Amino acid sequence: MENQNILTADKVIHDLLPQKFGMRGKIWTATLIIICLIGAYAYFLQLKNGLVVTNMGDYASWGIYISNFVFFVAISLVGSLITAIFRLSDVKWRTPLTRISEMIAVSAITFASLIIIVDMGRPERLVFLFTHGRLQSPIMWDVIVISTYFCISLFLLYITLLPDIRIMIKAKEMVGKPFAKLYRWLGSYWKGTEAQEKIRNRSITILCIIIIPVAFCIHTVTSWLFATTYRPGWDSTNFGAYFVSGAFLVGAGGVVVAMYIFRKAYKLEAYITEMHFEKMGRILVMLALLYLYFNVNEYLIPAFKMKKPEEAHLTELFTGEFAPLFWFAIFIGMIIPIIIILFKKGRKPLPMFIAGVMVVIGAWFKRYLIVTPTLLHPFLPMHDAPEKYKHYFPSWQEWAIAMGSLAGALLIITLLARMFPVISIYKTLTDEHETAQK
Amino acid sequence: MKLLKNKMGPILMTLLLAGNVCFAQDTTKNEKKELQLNVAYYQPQNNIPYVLVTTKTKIERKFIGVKDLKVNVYLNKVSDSNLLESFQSNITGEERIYIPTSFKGVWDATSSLTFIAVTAASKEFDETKSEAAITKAKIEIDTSRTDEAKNITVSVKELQNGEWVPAKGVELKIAVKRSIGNLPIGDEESYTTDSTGSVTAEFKRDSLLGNNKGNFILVARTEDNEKFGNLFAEKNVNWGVAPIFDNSFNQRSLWATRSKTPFWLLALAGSIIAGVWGTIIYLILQMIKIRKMGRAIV
Repeated sequence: MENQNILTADKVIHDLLPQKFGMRGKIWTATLIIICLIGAYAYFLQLKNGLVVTNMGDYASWGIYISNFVFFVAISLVGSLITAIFRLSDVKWRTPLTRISEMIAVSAITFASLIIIVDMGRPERLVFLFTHGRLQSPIMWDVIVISTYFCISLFLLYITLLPDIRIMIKAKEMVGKPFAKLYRWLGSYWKGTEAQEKIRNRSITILCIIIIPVAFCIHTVTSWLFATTYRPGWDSTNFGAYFVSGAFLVGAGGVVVAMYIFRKAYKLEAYITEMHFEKMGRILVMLALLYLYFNVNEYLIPAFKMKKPEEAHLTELFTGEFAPLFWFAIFIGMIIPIIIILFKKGRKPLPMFIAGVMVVIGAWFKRYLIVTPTLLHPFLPMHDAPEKYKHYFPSWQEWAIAMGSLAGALLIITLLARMFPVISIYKTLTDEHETAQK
Repeated sequence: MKLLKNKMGPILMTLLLAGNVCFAQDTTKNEKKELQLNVAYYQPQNNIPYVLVTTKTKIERKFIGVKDLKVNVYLNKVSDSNLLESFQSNITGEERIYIPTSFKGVWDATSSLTFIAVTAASKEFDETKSEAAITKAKIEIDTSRTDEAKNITVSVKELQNGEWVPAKGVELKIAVKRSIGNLPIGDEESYTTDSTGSVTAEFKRDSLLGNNKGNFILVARTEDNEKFGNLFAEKNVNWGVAPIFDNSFNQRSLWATRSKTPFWLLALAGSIIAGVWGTIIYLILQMIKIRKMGRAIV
């Protein structure tokens, strides 16, 4: 916070209030909308013709949709990491990162919920999960925990926004008219009194406490969707911890990427400083090493034993059809970012951004590798199966829907950033006040 | 073109040779296959005897039924008056023939009979003839049970000069009828009748699963006996164990229906859901409280 010592309240408000999109912002938003529309059209075709438009089949019954689902669930963990864990452990430098991570969490969990519906051949039957759901099924646990996590994430984003909404209502000339009604509807009752502030602070603390076990649950339960199925590659007691560590890594990587983009786009160098990248770099390298450790556990031990059913699966990953993707995910998602960030120069904004992008891309492919190769290596031999059943590559509709969902998540973050401050104005002012008092 | 002329000779030679090879293959194809025509006599206990005629051929080391083959089956000699039945073979290559009532006189008059099956020559097979000569016999099965053992007595009698006399030295098998085959009653592969025409075997398979009441069927049979053909008798006995069906599916378990969720899971999941959602509801109430506080300030 080296530059924040000279910041005045007016400057903070001016700098952090949501800004109208420039040309680049408009092009970015329009691009995302177009990708979403293509995805929506592909989904329309899927609804009209059924899952036959996908390349999923008897064996690869979970494809790119479920990979995307696991990816979204993973990246949504960032809300609990930055907001809850940092708040409860009183990390002072967290302020510029919390709002960004909350926005990422809300958008990711929204699309995690949506993409799972896309994977259903008959989406109108979703309601049966609630009316006829069996509590014994891990799928039911996932439905419960995802909806709970969605509510908590949304709640956390909203409650931390309240003081900023008051500021935006007051500064309506600077903010402009478009969202004035929305701000009044959302937070005109917030007066910032001591009693209100006391309740709000306590509520945030309670939310931060409950979001951590719920976040752990969502990732553990998602891993159990796989681990409770007796299959090579999934039959692991390590899966819960493996998923949680991977989720922390991709979440942190996502925040680093968003930090860099918002810093550049909104000129927030005075708020998101090099110190923040330095700190996040240390966290990122620790999380990458942790995830690498779990990967060694997941692959080295079964590979050492090479039990017959695991052999085909591991051989496909290490040297077979999936080998390029597997080593890409390992090197791009973990090893190269670790090498970059281990050095002090690597923890500067640009190298950190590059490492963050690598982590996120590597993580997406890692989810694909968790889902698909195992499905193509069942315990029972694939006798008399047509050749196409033994391979899986998504159809254009699947790609369009998957990319549409990724664009949709980015669009939500973009729109939230347009409507609300990406850094808490109120918290920044409070921090400034406390620094000045010292 | 010049090149083509130079090459024309070898090409023509190749084509001619290839043609020869093709013709040679056709000749091989026209060779007739060997028909396995078989006649077997079956005499169930207290039931009508029948003759099983099979028409099979060997294709790629497997015996395959030959269909659409005309087969005539005669009794004692090949003549129109002795024709038992004429049939067209089906896809299985097996046909069961019962003795028509019009042959009762011939049947009763003698103790030895010969069944003759004849097929006419066809494109695929030569004319084939097969016969089975049998002496009329009957088989009976009886059981006795003591505290120590369960015994099965099988007796075989043959018809000689209009009288049933014990048939000694007949090899037979005694087994329990199961779903996909017969299970021998003990370690012995087969049993042989003594001078009284009977044999007694001890049933050694305790705790064998029976039907709902613990019943199963004992079977005694001769298999392709040169003199008597296939005799067989069955008896239902209550020597088995009635199965106890596992009813755990209807109990509370992880694999049961939603209404049979285990109590521990209901309690665990319920308390977690209630704890988390109770907190969320509490926080919503706090938000309402904040809202009211704000509205109270003008």
